[in-house]
Amino acid sequence: MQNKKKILIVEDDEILISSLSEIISMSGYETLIAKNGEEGYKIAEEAKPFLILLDLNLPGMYGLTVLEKIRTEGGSWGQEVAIIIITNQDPDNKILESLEKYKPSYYLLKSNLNLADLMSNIKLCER
Amino acid sequence: MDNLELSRALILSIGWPLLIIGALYIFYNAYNFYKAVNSTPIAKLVPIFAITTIITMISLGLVSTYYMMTDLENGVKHVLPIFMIWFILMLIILVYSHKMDKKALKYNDLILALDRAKSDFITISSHQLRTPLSGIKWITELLLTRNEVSANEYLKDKIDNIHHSTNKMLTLISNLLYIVKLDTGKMIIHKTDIDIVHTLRDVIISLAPNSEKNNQTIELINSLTPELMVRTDKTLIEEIFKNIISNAINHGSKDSVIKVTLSKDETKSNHLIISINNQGEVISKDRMDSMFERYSREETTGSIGEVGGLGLYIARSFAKLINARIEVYSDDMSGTTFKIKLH
Repeated sequence: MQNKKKILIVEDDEILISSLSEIISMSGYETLIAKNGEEGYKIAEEAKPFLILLDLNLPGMYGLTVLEKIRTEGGSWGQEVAIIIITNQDPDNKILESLEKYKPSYYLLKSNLNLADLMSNIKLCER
Repeated sequence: MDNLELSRALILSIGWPLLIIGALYIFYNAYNFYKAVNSTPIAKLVPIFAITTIITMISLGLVSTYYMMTDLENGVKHVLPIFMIWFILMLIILVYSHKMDKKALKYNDLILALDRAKSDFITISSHQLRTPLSGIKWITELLLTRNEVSANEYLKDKIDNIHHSTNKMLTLISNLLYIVKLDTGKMIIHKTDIDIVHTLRDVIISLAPNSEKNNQTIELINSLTPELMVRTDKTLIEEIFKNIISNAINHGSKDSVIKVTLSKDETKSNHLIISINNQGEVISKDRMDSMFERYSREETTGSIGEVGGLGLYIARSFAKLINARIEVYSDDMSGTTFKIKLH
């Protein structure tokens, strides 16, 4: 049996995690879950998923720091892994600077986002 | 020179400069006050009050001077007490107004602090509200994909309503956050090269569920190239499109076609025009300006619009930020057309 592709969800809200993991599992991926920044980075490094869904307002390590660490300390995998930021924070100058530098695949506002659209974005990252 | 002549000379040499300074001071204060309250009914009274006071002061000065020149003894005797009262009054007014200015500054700081607190409250609470609402929205979306829900018309309808209401609430929150950012000058403009055709198509797709409720179709008419790269702020232009097309959906007749047309400006060919046309009620001339104000009310029902009467206000404010213009045309024949001119 072919191994399922792994997607890591770094998110601290239980209800959002449950919806995200349900739709992702339904679409045939394996989901990994981290509820704070440190855990997110640790699991990412160990499991090397093909895509990371990253929230910004996380307890402990802030989402942007996780993004920076993956890109700068994660070797060649870290530089190439698809990262989709899903947050409820409108981008400010600090965020924009970070996006410019560490280039996540998408920056999506949860409040504007439909799960179906999220899945299309994930599919696009798979190409 | 006897004592009476000396008194008259003193009154005149001190009185007139004092009177002129007093008049200028009143004029200056009235002007400041007028500037602060110029949108209220009291503003009309301020210049009338100031001019009347100044004319009275100068007339009194002239009468006193004339009286003292024609009848030295009685003139000085009668004018001197008036002059003394005037002199003391001017001193009191000066000291008092100085104190008032200080107080006003203090209140001004307080009002600014309160305004900041209000903005922070809206920003923080809106952000906090977004997460649980996103949760509800996603759960309803998942439920709507379930077979047991699509098989039950009643359940499907109710869940669809929750989904729709949650989306409306999220739009309202986004609009409130935009208003705070516009008020506090914190709206960030981040220009990138975007394909305007693709952006328009995405907005139209995202609004399709709303137009389907009214049995309307949104038609994109593009006589230009299939891809049109424009350097602008993606979020702002998307919001402008979203708000104007939503407005066309809400005010367009049922079962009608909403036409979104892309064209070049005939006079300035490097300018793009996006026209959004809907059939339905004609907008009166008065309404054309007032509908772009915040919390604007519907002309026919008097109620605040679906998303807090903020959509068109935000669209026009964002257009200004990216150097675009929004024009409105409305008549019986061709319906209502919003033209977004991108420079």
